[in-house]
Amino acid sequence: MNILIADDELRLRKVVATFLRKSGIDVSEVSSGEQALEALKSKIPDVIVMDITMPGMDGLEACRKIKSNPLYENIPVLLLTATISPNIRAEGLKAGAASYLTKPFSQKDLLEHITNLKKS
Amino acid sequence: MKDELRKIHTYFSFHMRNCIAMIAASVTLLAYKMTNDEQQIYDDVTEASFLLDLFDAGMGICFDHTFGIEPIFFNDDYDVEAFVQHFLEQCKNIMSEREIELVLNINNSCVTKGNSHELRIIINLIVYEMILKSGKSLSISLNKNCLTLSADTSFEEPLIWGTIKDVCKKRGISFIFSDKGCSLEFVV
Repeated sequence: MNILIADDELRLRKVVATFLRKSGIDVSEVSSGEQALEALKSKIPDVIVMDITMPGMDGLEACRKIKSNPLYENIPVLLLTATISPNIRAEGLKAGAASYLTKPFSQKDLLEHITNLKKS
Repeated sequence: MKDELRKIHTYFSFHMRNCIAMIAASVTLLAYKMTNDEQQIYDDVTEASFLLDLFDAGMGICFDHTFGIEPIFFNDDYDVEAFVQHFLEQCKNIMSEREIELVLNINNSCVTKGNSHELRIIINLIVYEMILKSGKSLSISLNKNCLTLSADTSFEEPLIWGTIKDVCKKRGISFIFSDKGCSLEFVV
């Protein structure tokens, strides 16, 4: 399984990526919505894990763009965010995200979410 | 007041959750013996804990201000440069990982009086925000009694800067900001 993580919190992203790699997942990392869209051109992941608050194109906008592109619309997007507003959660799901996790999170939960999204 | 409180909570909740996430994720790596670099984990957890303390204290100052609690005036001496240097030392990992070049231009020392604990928190919050907003370079200069921070990219005004401006004003400090940077003018 391979996933793409888009998060501008570099250290957290690295720690999460280490956990997932040690769990047998191939992980690519980027820092923004624009970079996530660019990365899709060279490799289609099984799941995208996307932060919402990022500089430039945020996670919601990137999710909308992914879901409106026939080439990428079937890739499940998991939003991972420190924003707890219920409105943001609703916006995320409306943008086409398949799942939503708030920081802080258990890495085992994250792994479970990713595995379930891959199965679906 | 409701909007102000919501903004303060949104801002600090976001940053505190990121710090807690960092600590929890790091501890997981240790628990599952997934790292060979325990020193790095220790450094990351220490830094996240330091920032968590900063955000909690900063939230307290902003809430007190919004609730109309008058500041208690202290007459401590505080050295602005020392505060900035200490904070930059605490955040050196963030700076190096983001590959931010720091351009320091300290022309003089600036020792002023006030509540040093509170002022340290305010200065740290501002410097931290500027680190996050900077692309590849952050300039910090201290000229007479004015601390100026400039990013190399334009940015959206952080949610709490309006509140911080009012907090500073109550303490006789002028805090001015734009989409490229900010300055603090202290009373000496």
